[in-house]
Amino acid sequence: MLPLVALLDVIFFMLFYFMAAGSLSAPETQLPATISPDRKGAGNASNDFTSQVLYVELDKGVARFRIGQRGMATRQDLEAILAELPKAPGIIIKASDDVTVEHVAAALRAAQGSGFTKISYVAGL
Amino acid sequence: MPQHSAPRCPARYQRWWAALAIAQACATGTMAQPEASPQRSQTGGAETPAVRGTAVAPDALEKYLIARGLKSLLVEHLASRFEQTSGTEKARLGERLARLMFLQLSATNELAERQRLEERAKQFIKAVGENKSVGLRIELARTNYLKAEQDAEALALAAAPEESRAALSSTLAQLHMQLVNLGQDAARRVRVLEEKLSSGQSVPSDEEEVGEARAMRSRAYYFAGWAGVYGAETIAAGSGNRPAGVPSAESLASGALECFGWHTGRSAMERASLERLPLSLLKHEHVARAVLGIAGALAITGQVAEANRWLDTLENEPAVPAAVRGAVGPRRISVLLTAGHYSEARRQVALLRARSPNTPAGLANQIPQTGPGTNTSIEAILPANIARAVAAQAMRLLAGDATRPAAGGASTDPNGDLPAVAETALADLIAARRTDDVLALAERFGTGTIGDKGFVAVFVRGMLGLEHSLRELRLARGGKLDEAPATEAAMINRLREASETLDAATVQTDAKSYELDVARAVYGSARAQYYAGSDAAAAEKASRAFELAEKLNAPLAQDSLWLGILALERQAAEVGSGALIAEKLSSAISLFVSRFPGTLRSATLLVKRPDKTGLSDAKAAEILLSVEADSPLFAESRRAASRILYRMFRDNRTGDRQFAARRFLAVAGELLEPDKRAAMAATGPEAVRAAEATLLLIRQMLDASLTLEPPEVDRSEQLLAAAESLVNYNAMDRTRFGRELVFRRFQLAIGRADFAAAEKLAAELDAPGEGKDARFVEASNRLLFVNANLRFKAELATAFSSQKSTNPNAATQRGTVQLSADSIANAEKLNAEAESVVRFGGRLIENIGTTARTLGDTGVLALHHDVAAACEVLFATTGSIAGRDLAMRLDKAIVSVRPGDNVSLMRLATMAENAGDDALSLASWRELSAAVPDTSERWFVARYNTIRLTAKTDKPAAATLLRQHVLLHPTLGPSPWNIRFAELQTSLLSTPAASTGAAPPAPTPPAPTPPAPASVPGSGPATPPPASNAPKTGGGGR
Repeated sequence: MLPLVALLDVIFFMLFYFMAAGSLSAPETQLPATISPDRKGAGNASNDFTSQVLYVELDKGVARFRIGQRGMATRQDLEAILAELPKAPGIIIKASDDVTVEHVAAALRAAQGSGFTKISYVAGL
Repeated sequence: MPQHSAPRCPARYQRWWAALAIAQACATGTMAQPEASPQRSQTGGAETPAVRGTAVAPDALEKYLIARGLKSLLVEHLASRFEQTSGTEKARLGERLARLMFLQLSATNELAERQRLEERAKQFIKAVGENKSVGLRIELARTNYLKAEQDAEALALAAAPEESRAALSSTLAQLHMQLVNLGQDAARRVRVLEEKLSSGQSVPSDEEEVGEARAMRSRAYYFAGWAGVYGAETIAAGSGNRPAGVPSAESLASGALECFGWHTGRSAMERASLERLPLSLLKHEHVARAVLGIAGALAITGQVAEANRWLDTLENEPAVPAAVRGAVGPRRISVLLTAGHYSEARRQVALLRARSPNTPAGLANQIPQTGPGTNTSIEAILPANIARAVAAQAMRLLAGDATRPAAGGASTDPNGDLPAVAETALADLIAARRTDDVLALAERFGTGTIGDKGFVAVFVRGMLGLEHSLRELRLARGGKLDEAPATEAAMINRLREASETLDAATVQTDAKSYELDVARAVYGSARAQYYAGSDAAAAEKASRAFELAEKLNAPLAQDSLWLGILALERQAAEVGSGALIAEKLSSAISLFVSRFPGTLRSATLLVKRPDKTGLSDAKAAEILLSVEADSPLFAESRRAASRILYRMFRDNRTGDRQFAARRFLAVAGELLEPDKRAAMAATGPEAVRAAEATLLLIRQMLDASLTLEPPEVDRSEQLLAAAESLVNYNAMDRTRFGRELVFRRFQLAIGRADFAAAEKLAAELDAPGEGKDARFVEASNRLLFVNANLRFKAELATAFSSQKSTNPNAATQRGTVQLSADSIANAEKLNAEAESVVRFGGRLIENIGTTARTLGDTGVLALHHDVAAACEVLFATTGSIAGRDLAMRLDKAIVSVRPGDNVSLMRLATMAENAGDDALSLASWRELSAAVPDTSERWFVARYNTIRLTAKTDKPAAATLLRQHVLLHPTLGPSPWNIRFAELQTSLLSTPAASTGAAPPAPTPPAPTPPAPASVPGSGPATPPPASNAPKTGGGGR
């Protein structure tokens, strides 16, 4: 007989951990689409806000943040802008392939720190 | 015969030299130098060019004619100059023309033409001085002699009809006499000049002249001698029979001996004598050849021993040219056969065979060259041309054509030497695979000597059987062998017998050595079966013959396949022939036209069975158009080509359509006039049929000519007139094509830009009644719409350009340009064209329908766009509510199938707001902002209008949206939208106006979309501009 009790315990612990640590609702579903083929979706009043897409890019070896027509070099500048933006439409963070995790993490933290709860991350521009 | 070929070879070379010389003379515009040495001219083999003469300066036309090789025209041109000149110039031209006549004479075999040319040459010779004229007359006689010599050779080889013998012997006798006389003239001239020289009264040129005169004398007697020999042999071979007035063979032979006396050391017409022959002269080819002629003449006169002595001399004298020495053996055999010395002839044949390097065809490689172990079982054979001549002479003697032995000759053949000679020569021909020669001899002299075993013997018998049967059939049908099978049982049996014999030939043990002839045998068998009415057997055998011939790449392949098609056609025409035969026929036709595309037969198949060939239309048309104008198939092939070209034009939807239309019109144009005449001339049912066919051609031509860009209006008008005239003349029923002709007139009106007339004709097409055709109605509406839309776009472009001139910023401020009746010069015209577009386009849309399925077609989508754009203009310039509503309806439909359509969304948003439907307007702007990138100008337009319209109902929300915009786009956007956003900022974010609920800056009324180059959605202007002076039916604006 195999000692299955211990194994089952471990499995249940792991299941519990993932359920507690993960989120079952995808934040992307709550974000306004930039381009939607669905006329009703696109023309809905809830989508009146402009999609807020934060780009994390590398410019001459230096990481930069860009949203709309604004460009920021530091996290502080970024947080200052994000703080003023409406939070309801959420934010999408798009990072280019060549930026480091550090900068992406900075963007995520800045978004969280600015009060965004609906944050979506897209890798690779 | 070999003995005859002796003078022929040099004669042929002479002709080649002559041709080359005239070509050279023509090309350079100069003439050859005067006659070379007498000895060279005497040989006849290395003679200087025939065309000589003194230089006559060529004029420009002459140079042109010479450069292009237009010899007949050159003759006519020179003849015209000849008529106009006189004196020395005339003599020079006469000489030149005479030589050109000789050239033409040598190139034709037609008796009447030869006579005409000869007469003409004589006229030109008359103009030449006495001295020159002798030379030219000798040249003329020589030209005629060469032709007669050819005919005599052919007759001796049994390759010419026996009926020509009498005329030929007469010709040769005349030529002999004529040349003798010319020789005498030349001799007299020589005497005079020699006396002059010996008397010391000569001038320097006399020495040269005497040389020329001697050369002429020698040449004249040389050809006179040979004319005599050939004449005598021709008469002798014909049992001595000769036309009245023609000397006997012996007399001609004696004359020839006298002529040759000049070349063998005698003079003044003394008979040639071996004792007086200086052997050193034999090194000259013409002298050696004269000796061959002497032997021939002696044989005719019965002096065989003397003839043999002359030939022995030639054989033994080492200085004799090799070419002449090679002709001695065959000449000796001929002499012996002529004299009836058959036993000796047989011995000479054996001797010649033993010396011959020739072996049976295909065995050459098996014969060891020299040394021990030489395979003596493979016998050498006579060279084929000698074998043919010996066989012909021997077989003729056997057949009794010339049973009379020469005087003093042995006439008996107790040992059967003559048949042995014939069989040996025939066997050698067979061994050399000269089946055609055997066939010709067997046909002429019978099959008695060819045996009955082996491929050739059986093949020849079969072929002769077939040819005889077909000849009879041809005679029975009045000289023309058509394709109908024989009906008489006896004839059918003979044909089947020939077929069986030919089949038997193909299974002979040696048949493998005769691949091509086996194919011929199979083809012959197929022909026999075809004419015997056994179509299945004929088709099967023809197919086999095709395969065999195709393997050998022989021309017979085409004949075989064609015969197979004919047999299959006949089979297919029988009741209940079945699909298999039809399929076989179709395959055979397809194979024929692909394998032999450029032939008249292919064209015939394309005319008869255009749907069975499997060829592409382009290839079929190419074949049909390649038929020459003088071919009996020409008219039919053009007609078939016209049908195919029209089909190509109709099926073509690419840019090549114009080319296809022009090609069709070119060919059909050739047919029209003859067809019209035929239609007018015909009577009864034929008249109806011809009129129908002509009208069809006219209708097709109208279709093509009015499709061209630009349409051929003049031609179309003529065609329409011709159609009307034809219909009226034949009182044809218009029901079937009346509307079509109206439609063509409508197209013509469009082509002439007479749109008022076009609209009337379109209405006529749409009018209810018999013959109404929805296709023409739709096509006319479409054509009207297309033309109206083109005009509308042109006017719109003009309107925008005129606005640009009043508003310098218009070009950069796209979307702010506004059209109104007040600000454009061409408003009235623009509105008229816009109305036309709406009217015609509306009709089309009504017919087509506005559904998701129809809008899936890009053409229909473009139509909706164009009509909506015209409505927009009408609304902008006249405030047409109907136009606005139609535009909204159309744009809604477009957006429903293409949600991101920029142009429609902008137009819809603007129109909806004007119609008071802010919700729809807002939704459209939102949709547009979602559909375009946030860096484009349109996006800023959409955002501005979204915020502006939101502010009308929810200012805080609008303020929030504006704040977001300001944060994300601190510049607020490109000009002029940054100003508009700034105004919004003022009213919504920081001014009291925001709290008073005052509306944001008023929107401008809709502006039409400038013309898109190709009616493609989204290619119009970026943004419809707001306009303050547009009528408002509700809503604030933007």
